[in-house]
Amino acid sequence: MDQPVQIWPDADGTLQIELAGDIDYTNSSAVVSAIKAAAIEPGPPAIRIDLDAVTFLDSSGIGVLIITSQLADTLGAAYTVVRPGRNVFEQLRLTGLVDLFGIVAPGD
Amino acid sequence: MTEVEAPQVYLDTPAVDDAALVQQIFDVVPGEVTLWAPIRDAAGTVVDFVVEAASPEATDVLGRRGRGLIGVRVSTTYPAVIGTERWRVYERVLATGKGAHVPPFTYPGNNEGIATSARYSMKIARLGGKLLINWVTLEDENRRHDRLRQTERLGNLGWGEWDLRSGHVEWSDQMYAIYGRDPAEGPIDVGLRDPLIVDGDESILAGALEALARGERTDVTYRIRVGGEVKYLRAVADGVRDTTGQLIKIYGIVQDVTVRETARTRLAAVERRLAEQQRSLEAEHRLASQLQGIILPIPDEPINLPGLRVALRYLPAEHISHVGGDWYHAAALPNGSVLLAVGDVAGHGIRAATTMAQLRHALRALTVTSMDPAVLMSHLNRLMCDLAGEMATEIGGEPAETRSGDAPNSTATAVIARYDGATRSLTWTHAGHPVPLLTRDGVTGPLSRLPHPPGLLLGVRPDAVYRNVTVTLDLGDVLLFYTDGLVENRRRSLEEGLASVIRTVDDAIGSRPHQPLTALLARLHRANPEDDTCVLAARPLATQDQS
Repeated sequence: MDQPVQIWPDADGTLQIELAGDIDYTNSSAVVSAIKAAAIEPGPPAIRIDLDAVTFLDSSGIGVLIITSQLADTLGAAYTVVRPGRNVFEQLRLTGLVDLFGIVAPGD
Repeated sequence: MTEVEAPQVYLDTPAVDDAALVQQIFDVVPGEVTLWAPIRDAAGTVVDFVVEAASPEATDVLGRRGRGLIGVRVSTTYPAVIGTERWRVYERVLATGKGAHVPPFTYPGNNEGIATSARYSMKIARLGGKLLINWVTLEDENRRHDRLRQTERLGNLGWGEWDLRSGHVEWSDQMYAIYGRDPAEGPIDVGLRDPLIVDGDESILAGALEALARGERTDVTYRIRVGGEVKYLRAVADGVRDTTGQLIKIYGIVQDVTVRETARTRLAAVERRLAEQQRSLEAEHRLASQLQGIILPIPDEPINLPGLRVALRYLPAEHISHVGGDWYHAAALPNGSVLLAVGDVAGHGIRAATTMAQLRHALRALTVTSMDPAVLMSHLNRLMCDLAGEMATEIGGEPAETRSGDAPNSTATAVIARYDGATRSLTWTHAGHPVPLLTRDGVTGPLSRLPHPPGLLLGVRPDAVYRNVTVTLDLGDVLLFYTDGLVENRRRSLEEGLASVIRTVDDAIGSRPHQPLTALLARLHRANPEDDTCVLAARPLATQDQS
């Protein structure tokens, strides 16, 4: 299986986080650890999570988004979650996170 | 060796000196037959014989055949015979003319240094002044021995004989090999207890001996210990008895079946382990549902609340570690309305179950202070946020996500509703939870739009705002609260999962509009085996139904 997470800093210092595949109880702890390790050291001005390649989020996958948002708060970084697929967007809408994170609906 | 009277052989004719004529007869005779002419010394004593004629099949111990035997001197070629009882039989037949039959005997031969002993049975008659010797080569002793040895070796078979009168025991070579014993030591005296037998198996041999004494053939498998190794031996034995029925001899074959037995034992062990595993798996499942049953008892029968009949179904996750945090609440409030709730704590296992129990008990306690679903939800949210903080402290600052098997954070979803039987109004709110379903006039769909804004998951932000939506129910409506295990599947969208549940409910209610709620719930299946599922179905009761 592909890596569930890839992280790299942009030219302007924004921490780009690309999640892929199913983010669930089997890998969410590892994903959070990877994000924390990458974010805490540089203290990025912004953290951006790209959900384009995500196929499924279970409750712990949703937890990854929440913990990262709390991490961004602590670091004083701007936080955005972008490009969810239709199903993932529907899930995030139901959980109230679309409003909380200002996620844009697919196709908009 | 003794001769046996053979009265049928009387060929005492006048002297036949024409050996050539005899040879002509022999040429067309089957079997092995030769004509021996005696050679006498001056005193007339037979000192030797010379072969004068031989049938084509006649073969001696040295491999000479047919006419090739003519002229052979018995004394020089078969010196072993001189002075034996058989030699005296020759003399007597020659003297008396009375034929003789020599029972099987072994002739030790020597052909160019190779021992080729052979076994013969012989008929002797006098023909003129000569001897007619007819013999049957029974078997090449060495070949037979080789064959037996190979059979024993190939079959891991040993052969033994025990003479009960003399106490004499005889073993074949392979028997020694099986018992790991030097043939020079001689066989084990089985009259005593087999000194190598494994404790506990003596009774098997004792039982076999008793069976033999009763005249039965025995077939037993017992164990011996040879050089620290345990061997399984199968013994098939039979007895020989005298005219009085007394057992006088036991003979039998012993087969080393260790390989087969150990394979069978191993197979049995594997099968046993598999069965144990199966049992422990079943026990795990039982434990999972028992655990759930203790924390969250699910009534089998519908419960009647003021103006509302409620039925519940809980489908545990397939694996114990996934036993989770699904919960429900259904109880009358002090003002005569009914509070309904269904929730789902993120993650699985004991921690999720503990959080679930805390939420459930908190909700019950909080109804004393408020009966407004949105207010109750805000309280639960703050409780969840507090719990998340407590957990972080509990583990000594170690990041929560490094704990294996736990969700990285402590969030939960829930739906809380209050139903007023007098007005049939249902006020509900949600926190990150799927919208309940409503079946009306045979059509199933979402209970209403989502509250606006949608209620955030519990445990994310202490200041999250929850809003109520109010709908009015009709008699005949069916209300369905569920957790996402019913619809969520990683290979299917929520929409598809929901559509499948809606179809199931529509079909059920379409075929039987007033079917019992439990029957309706029984039709629903969990979409996700990794997740547990809790479903609550409710139907408004007419006022006269109220108790």
